[in-house]
Amino acid sequence: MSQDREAVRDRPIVVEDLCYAYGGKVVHDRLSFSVEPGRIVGLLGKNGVGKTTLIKLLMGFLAPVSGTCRVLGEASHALSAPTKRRIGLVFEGHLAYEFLTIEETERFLAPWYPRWRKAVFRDFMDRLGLPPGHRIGDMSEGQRSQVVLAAVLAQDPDLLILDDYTMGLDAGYRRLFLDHLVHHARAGSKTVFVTSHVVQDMERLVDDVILLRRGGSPYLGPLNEFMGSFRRFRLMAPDADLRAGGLLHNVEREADGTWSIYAFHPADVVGTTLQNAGIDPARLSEVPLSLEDAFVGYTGSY
Amino acid sequence: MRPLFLKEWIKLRGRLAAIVLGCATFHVYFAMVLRRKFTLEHAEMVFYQVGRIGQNTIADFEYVPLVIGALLAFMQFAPEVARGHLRLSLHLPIATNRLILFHVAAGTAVLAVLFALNAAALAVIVGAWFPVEFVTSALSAAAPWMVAGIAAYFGGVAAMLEPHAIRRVAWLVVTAAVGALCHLSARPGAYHDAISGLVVLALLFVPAVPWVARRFRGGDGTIPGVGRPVAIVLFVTVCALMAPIATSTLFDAQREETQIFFSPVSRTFVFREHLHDHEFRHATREGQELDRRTFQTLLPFIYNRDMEVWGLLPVTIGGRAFDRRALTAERMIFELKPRDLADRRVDIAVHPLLESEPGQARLQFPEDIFRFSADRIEFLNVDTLAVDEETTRIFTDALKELGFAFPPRLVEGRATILKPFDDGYLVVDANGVVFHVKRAQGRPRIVRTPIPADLAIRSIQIVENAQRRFMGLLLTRDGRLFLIGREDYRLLPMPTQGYDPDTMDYRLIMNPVAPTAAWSNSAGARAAALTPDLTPFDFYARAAPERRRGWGELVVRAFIPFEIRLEARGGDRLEWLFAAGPGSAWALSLCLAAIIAAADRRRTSRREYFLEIGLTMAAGVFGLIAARLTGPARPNRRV
Repeated sequence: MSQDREAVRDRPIVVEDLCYAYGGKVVHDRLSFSVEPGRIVGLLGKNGVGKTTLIKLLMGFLAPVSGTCRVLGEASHALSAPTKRRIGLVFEGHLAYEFLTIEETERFLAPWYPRWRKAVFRDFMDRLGLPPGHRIGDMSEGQRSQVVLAAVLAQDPDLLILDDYTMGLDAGYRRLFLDHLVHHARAGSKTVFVTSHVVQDMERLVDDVILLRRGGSPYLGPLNEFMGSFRRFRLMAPDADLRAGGLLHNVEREADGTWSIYAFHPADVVGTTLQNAGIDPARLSEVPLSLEDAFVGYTGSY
Repeated sequence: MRPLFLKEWIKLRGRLAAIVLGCATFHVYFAMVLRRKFTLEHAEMVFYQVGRIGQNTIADFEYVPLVIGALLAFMQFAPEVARGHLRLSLHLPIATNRLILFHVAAGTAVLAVLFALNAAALAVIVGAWFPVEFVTSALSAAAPWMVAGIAAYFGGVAAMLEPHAIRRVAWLVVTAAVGALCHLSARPGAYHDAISGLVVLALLFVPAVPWVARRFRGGDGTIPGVGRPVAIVLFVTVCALMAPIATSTLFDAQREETQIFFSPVSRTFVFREHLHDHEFRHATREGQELDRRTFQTLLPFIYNRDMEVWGLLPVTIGGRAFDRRALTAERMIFELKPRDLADRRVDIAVHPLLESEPGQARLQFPEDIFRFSADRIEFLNVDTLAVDEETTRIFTDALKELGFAFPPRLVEGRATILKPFDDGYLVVDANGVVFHVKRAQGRPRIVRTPIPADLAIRSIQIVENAQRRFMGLLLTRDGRLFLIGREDYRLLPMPTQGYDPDTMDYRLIMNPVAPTAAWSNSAGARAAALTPDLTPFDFYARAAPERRRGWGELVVRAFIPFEIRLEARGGDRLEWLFAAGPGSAWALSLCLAAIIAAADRRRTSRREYFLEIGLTMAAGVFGLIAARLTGPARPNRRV
């Protein structure tokens, strides 16, 4: 085995030739990727492409049909207790024991984690301004998200896996959650694997992205590389018959009749491609691209 | 583990308080009902109803443990599953098995405390009105219901943790089946011989629960450990238990046993056998078919009322004319059924000793009851439960004077006032000597009988018949049956060829011309014709007619490899019975397994295929069902 391959195997998350299917429907077919230590990785994809399945596989609530899904060196669905101790999970909807109070939550969780950071938990709770006897079930979604994040960060895990942390949060709490997460992750060189439906938040959070798309291979790489190479162009040619393929990653007709062209190539290359297809590139212009635009462009609107 | 204990305690404390409150309300109600019973009726009559007729004082408690078990499972695990807490818990740094077993252990401990509190409350309430023997009896009646509660808890937990809907239903069916087994009889002591099997069944859920939980976390891949094998045993057992219930519900009609009589009129055996539905056959041993009326006229000592209506009385038999009154007066029936046997009955060892010379037409229950201890016969007042020391001393001294060895092996009598006179009790002492104990004008009248002490008596059936010729029947452990002479306690041997006391009813139909002894069960009947001095002179045996079976039944039964039944074979005590099915069941099941595996080729791994075949070879179609219900439920590529 080569040294490179050995190095990949040591990464916090290693997925190799992962296959999974529900009934007769194949959700993941030979999916492979790995996450480097200390990186914050965002998993993006449209509904139904298998984000939740992948997160469940990583969290160990599903076992692969074939292939491997290893987290901190162990099969994700058969983690040992010491490995579980090094992994912090934030479940969709900020799952918590809502019958416990803030104080009881800490009393329950702290003994499991030798590296429990009392100060981190207390700091979060002080900011929340709720008494220690406040029941989690009586909190708002935003308040609960803070308790959940505080509990996970206080565990001082090496790897955090967050499943759609934005669910149910308004803009303010989303920002708060994100700020705390980024701060603690960066400060502690934590590896973070996160999914979210709010794509624009990812721009501020992640180092790398995994873009899943139906029927195509996923994009895996640093976010800045993706944003630096993936481009959007507008073509004012309502009568043109444009199709994706070749150098054009995706083309979509906008509501005003213009075309949006997405590609990993500069304008002159795209222009030449259009010309070769018999389309006049004179009215082709590059348009600035947000991550959300890039996500839609990469995965397609529909 | 302390944090888990903290979590479970916080989660359950409010709900447990509600359960405890509910139980307390039930016990207040129960105490009020019992108090009312003693207010409305004399204590001696209540003692008779409970101690002799078998009324269950705690019948209202029957489903309380089941509800507690199911509620506890729901309260403890519904939030874990429905609100996703289980996913949080399963990620705690602890092995899944230990985590789930702790939760189950916590639930079991709570269940044990709740059941102990309920048992204590029952004991206190029953003990306030009844002697300790009744308390023991009540608690023994409650024991299988508590096993049902335990099964409801474990089965409920398994059903809630089960990730697949169909299998969730399967767990509920298994739980319901085990629960139903615990409620087959409300008679105290009925489960005396069967309860250990039920406990084993309930405990089989324990290793299955963490196995289900591990599938909840890690999918359906192969999980090592005993969880799946135990689940397979549980599913196979429940299939075997449900098969006879299903087939009897679908196909079985009630069958009446064949009855054989010796006709004093025609001097031959006649019989009545159930063919099917409402069709019976009446005939003679020689094969002469009889209509029902002719059959009845051949047995005037039994059917004399009809014969009187038909104007056929008086009838002349053996040169002697009998009118209806004479026919009735000369007839005497001694019966010994499996449920009458001392070791198949469920008795509370407290008895009323009636006044045998009451000085009035009707018998009356005394205001005391007696029981034997290690060194005396003890009389208790039924109202105060205090020991009547004077009566106790008098009777104990009388017994000791005659050499009675305490404690007795057997106390046999008919504790009822619905009889023409009272003949007291036949008591077999510690040495096997039989004493006849009566109360006459308040004093002991005790006879040390000449019945041999080495007879190894199994049971005695006292029959206080107006003719006063015989005391009753005596059965020995080696299956010999005797009629007991009333005056001299002389033992008259009865014919018993092929008699199985545990399954057969024995009837001795006495008349002055041709008495008949007959014994029968569902397999067939035998009878012996006796001379008036009870000497057998002719025998007849007849197998029960084969039951006609339809195609549907034949096909279904061809697939059933074996059956397990929990039933009382003509007694109070339930017992486990095992019956092997036809050999075809294994062959047909193997074919079925091969067909299913071939049809489901993409879903069946080679390992699962061989496991299914192996289990089918071991347990027929039940093994196949168990393998399918416990195997991988999602696509599993052929390796």
